[in-house]
Amino acid sequence: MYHINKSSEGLIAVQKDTRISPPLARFDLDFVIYWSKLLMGLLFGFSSYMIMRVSDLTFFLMVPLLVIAALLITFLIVRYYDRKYNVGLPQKKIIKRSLMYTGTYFLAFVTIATLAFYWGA
Amino acid sequence: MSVKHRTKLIFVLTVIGVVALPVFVIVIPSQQPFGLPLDVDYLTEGPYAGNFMVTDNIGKILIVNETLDVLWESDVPERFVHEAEMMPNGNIMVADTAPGRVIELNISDPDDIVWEWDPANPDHINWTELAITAGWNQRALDYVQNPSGDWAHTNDAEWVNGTKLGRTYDSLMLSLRNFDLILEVNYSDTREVIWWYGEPRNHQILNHQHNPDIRDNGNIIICDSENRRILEVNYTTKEVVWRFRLDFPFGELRWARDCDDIGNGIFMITDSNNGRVFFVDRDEGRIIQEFGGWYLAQPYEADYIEIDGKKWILVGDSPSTAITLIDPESDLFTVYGFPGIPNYLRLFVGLFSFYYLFMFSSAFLSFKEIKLLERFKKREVYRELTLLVLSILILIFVGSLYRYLVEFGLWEIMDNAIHAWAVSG
Repeated sequence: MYHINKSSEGLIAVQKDTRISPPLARFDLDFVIYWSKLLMGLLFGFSSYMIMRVSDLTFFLMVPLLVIAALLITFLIVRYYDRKYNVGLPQKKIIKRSLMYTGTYFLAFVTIATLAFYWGA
Repeated sequence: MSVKHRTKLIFVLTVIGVVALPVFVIVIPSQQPFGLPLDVDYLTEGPYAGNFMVTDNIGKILIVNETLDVLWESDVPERFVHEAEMMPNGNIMVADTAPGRVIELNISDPDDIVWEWDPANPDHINWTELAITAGWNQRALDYVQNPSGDWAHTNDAEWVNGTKLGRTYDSLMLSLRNFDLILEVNYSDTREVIWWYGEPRNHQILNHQHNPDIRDNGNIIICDSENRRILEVNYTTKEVVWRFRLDFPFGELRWARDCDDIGNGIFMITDSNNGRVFFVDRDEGRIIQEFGGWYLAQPYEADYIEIDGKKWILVGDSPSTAITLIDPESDLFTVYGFPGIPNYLRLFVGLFSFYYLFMFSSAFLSFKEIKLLERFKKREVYRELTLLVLSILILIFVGSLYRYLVEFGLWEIMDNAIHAWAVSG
């Protein structure tokens, strides 16, 4: 894709747009973060139950550790997205975006951990 | 829905949640005679036959009828009391957990202590002598000689009929949870130790056990709670003759605190943190019937009783602040008392679900121009729908949510907090 820039003096410059736009809505960053957090909540919720079955790690260590892991993974996803599509997000925005949908993560985590606990008696 | 309306909704739901907390947890439970029932017995003999004897963890022993009218009450036991048993002489033997003592209360005078055994009283027991006789290691000796904090945590006192065993004396089988020890002491003024099983701090033998029972053949059944197993020990040889545990990934016992021999080769186990009571075929080591799950929060002890010729399972479930009577044939149950804590949790998660229902509805209705199925593809709609489904699932399994939190580390904090509260009283 090319952009045509017209200056005030009437000079015309043709510039190649190097940004790659996501082709479909499902590659929208918001969409990616939402599903990442939801799936990580479900996966880590189930893992928390399994970890408890094989170790003595307490709730107060395990839950924050898994949250940090989830946030770190989201951070990497956002950064990867930013580089792949040349969005040009500043570091601050990448961090802010990584924190999005953390509530969804917690709800998914608690739900699946509780269900795993119920059926895994 | 605008952000302003959303904020208003959150505010209203928060107010309901905050106001309901003291109502559900303090006001309504105060309308009933007991707070946190641990051990509940059905009395079959004596003047109070046909009624329930309740050990209220708040520090009371009560005898109540089916309509929860108090027929007898004693405030002598301290906060944190775990167990009471009607003696053949009509008095009540109590495991008074916070001070670690065992006391016999006079049925005619609830304030009168007829007999007492105190682990901290050198006239009642000489720990050094017992440690040497038993061959305990230095670590065990250090523990029993230095009382501090929740030192003994005596959680059970079981009366042993000496005549039935061909003895000239009766005795008491005591469980000292934090000693990892079961002691049998002479029920007399001498109070000598007749038998023991376990060694303080040696968790290979026992680990914070509960409710030892004598079977008719003389063997002792012990809930080795934190080793996640049930043991049957030969009284004479102290050999483990039967062991029951559930192995990963086929489930696991979580803090089993009671096991009774109910006859026909069946043991009834109270699996507290799994919120269930189940029958096990002793010979096959297999669960044959299970009760609870969603309607029991954290049962402490269950008895297999007979009322008017029909069998029932009587359960003391302290977080439910209620007594539960289960029909083993139909799995239907009756609750005596108000289950304040689980009901509050249900309300709390229910408010969450209501919030997400509202959010989902308003998102769904905001796309009126789009076909019904197409609306679900909209991010605003499916996001709220997902959260609504998750919150409803939590609402359904709210009982196991409580146990999940307990198992995951709240247990130790709760135990220490309760003991601190008991001592402060």
